[in-house]
Amino acid sequence: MATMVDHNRSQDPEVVKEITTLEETFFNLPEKFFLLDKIGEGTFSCVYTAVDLLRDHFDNRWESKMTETLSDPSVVAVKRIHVTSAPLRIANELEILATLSDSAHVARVITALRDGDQVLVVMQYVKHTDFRCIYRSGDMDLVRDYMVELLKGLQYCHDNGVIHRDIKPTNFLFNTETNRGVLVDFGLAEFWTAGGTCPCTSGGWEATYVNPQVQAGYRKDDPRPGRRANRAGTRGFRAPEVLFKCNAQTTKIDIWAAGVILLMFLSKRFPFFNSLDDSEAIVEVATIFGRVKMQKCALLHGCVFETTIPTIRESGHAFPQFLDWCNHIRRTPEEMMGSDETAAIDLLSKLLDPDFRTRPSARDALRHDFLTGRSRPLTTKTALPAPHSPSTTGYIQSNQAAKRTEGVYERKQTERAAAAEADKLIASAIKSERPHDPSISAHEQARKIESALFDLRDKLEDEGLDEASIERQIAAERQRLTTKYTSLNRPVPTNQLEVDY
Amino acid sequence: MPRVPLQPVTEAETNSRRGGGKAEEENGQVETDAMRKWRRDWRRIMAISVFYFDVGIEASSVDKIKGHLQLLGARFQAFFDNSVTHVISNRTPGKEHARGDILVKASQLRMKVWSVDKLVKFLTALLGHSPSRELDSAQCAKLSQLLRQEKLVGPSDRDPTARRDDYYYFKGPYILVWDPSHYNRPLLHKEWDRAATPYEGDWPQFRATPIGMCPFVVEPGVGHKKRSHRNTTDTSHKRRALELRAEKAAVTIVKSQQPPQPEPLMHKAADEKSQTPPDTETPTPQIAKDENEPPVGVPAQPETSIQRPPAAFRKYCEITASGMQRYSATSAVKSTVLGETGNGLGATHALASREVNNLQRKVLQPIPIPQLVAPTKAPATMPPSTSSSRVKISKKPGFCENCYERFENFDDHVLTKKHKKYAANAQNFAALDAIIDSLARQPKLPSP
Repeated sequence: MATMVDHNRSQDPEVVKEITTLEETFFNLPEKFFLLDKIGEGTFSCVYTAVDLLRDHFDNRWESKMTETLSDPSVVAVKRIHVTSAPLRIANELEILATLSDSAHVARVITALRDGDQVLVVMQYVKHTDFRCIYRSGDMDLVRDYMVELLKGLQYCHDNGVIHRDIKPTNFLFNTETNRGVLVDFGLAEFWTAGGTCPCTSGGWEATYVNPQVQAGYRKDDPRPGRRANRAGTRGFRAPEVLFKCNAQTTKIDIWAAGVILLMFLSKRFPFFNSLDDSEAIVEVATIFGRVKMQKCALLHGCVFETTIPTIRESGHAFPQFLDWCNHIRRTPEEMMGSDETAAIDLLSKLLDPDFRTRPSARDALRHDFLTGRSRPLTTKTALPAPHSPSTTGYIQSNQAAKRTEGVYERKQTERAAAAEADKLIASAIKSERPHDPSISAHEQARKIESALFDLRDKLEDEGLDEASIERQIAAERQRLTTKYTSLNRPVPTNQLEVDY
Repeated sequence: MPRVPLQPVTEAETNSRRGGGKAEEENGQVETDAMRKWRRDWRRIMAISVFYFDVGIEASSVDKIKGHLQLLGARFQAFFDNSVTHVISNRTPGKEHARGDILVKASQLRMKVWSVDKLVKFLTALLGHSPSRELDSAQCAKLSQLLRQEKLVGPSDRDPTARRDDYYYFKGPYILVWDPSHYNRPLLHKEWDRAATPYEGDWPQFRATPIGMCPFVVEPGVGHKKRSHRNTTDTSHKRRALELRAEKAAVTIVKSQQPPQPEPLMHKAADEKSQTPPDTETPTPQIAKDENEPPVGVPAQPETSIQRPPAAFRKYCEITASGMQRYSATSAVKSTVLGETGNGLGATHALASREVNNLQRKVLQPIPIPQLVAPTKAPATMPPSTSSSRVKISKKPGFCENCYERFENFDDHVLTKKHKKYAANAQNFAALDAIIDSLARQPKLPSP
């Protein structure tokens, strides 16, 4: 089997220069890693790929958990943190990574090295598809898989008390071959702590006596202190509470950012928000949500939103119409949106709730109809193939039948279909150039099993069973299905890869 | 600005009725959590309340009460207007008053109408003692704070409509987010030039852009040209707009003649621009018709149009994180570095733009464009290689968290004596080393 990652050093002279300088200055580095290429540069770090030369000497059992996201275990990602970063910040990142080392949805930290002020964090290398190749595909299955994986990652972080703070496509590595996604870059992440003095902690000022007089100006030489809050994150992805400098921010800021990503998929726009500063960011958000909602949200965080910008309306825009506008679609009243789209837009409106209290948690969002697939009358394209064994239980079969109905993707306008087709080609081009990979069929199996289990859970929940006994039944069924599938089609171990450096 | 509706019965108010009575009866008992919360909420509310004392209330009877209210941050209005939140009157509200009576108006505007008795009870509950007590020395010290506050936001009884010399008044469309308790200076403000029509404004608003691109950004070149010529020649931007439409139409035509193929994400328009486009397909401007329809003041793209690639700088740049919380940087450093609204001094607009430029330099990083498929076309239309653009920003200005210093050139800064000294001191890294040690790789277990 061929290696999936090129083990040859980059040809770019700039990169080579940078890499060699690092190898020469960092103590013993060439003995441990062979740097290959630079794959990213951020505000606080840059990332290289490298061959893990001493891999065989170490305990690599963690890899068994990551088989789906680990394309080539001999290649790792080396994150070089800029030497201008405070050691405490780096320690914070490492601590969070160590806390989150038990999930396939978070890039695993392998080790960390320090030489003087230079710190290198060695991470699992995750092969992924560039977001710019997929956000315009209009493939709702892809969007669903992407969002499910993203929210599962967030659920794991949030369950462990971690706010990522910098959720955006570049920090969520999604692979269209395996339909798996991994969260990376916890450089801005923090542990959630209770407290904060923001009025939102006691219900906000939405229904009290605030009677803001129009200011229409500001004091020129204002000696009062400024409001301070952690605003770390990327512009365009900051939640309203971050923009209003709330000092009691929660994990919900990540949910907002996930909503912005969904917005990019549904509007086919990237980036969607393009503000240069927080003022512009608020104007952009207000353009969508309108003055009333923004005012309410501002009061929740103890401030008053005042604007005379004529393009900010009182009540903002409704998502369906506004997304049609983004997609250059003019719909007659008879033309309906597909149920998949409708469900996706419903999820969008929930994720992008300016009020963080009613914005769903990752766990709640994962139960949304769009993500569970309940919204969709499945086309043959997305229907699950027939189970391998004739002894399938009833619930799988009934589900199959229910899913064999027609048509989300049917659109009357052939033009639009053609355009969508062209967009899909981008995504499929990546898929088609890859040879068959056994790890994918392993993934397909897991996917089938999980899908079946999901239906079972649904059924049991409908029957009103309690959580514990549902979990027990699910676990038993998972065990049964796994044994059955693996006996039918044993996947080839993926770690037998040749190395050609 | 529309008045924020006063909710007839709020949770806080319900509490006040309950809590107010309770405090009176059980004064001296252990404070409950609910009571503490009630006090906290009402102290906040008081800080932003405006009182009006009805005619017929003797000034001498409320002098002491006024002192306490003032300490709580409340303001007084000598004449009734709609900024008032609380009317204090000894008349009974709701009893056949003449139209135009203050109590009628107050109830229409959903203001609170309290009697002096109620106010005294309320203050007793809130302060924990009777408001008729003299202000003690500690409170008098607060009075000096109050005077400072008055210096800041003006006297509480001043005419709010009078213009103040120490204020900057917005001239064009603006956004202002401010703290109604007046504790903090405005959170942020920004002002834009006035525009003849809303769609010509420079502030972020929906623009008709091709699918794939940010809906808030005018394509560079278009917007700026339009803006600079706005007031001088009215025809020049129209001509430019026509050119643009032509350009877009050309792209459409060329694309429609080709079989659909994976979009190379490359700029093709350059050589296609020269083709003469048919003007018949030019879409007409679509005006927003109703509330539910997104505003489209500029020509919408034809649906079949192929996405024009984004502007060069956006195409090869990735927005990276910014605005992180520094560990112990001072707020002054923060506001400078992070391009916040500054210290509220003077022309923050211009100031911001410089900061923003720095920020932009910092947050826009070039990234290589992914190769989707083997490039079928010769890379003649390829942009300059990413390495050359990387050279441009290699100066890398930024902020060193360890030296608490801004620097213009990263490479120069890390060679300074101060920085090297910090880096050489292992003590600075003790906490980090502890975690790094815990992440040491475990040796492979001997195979069974």
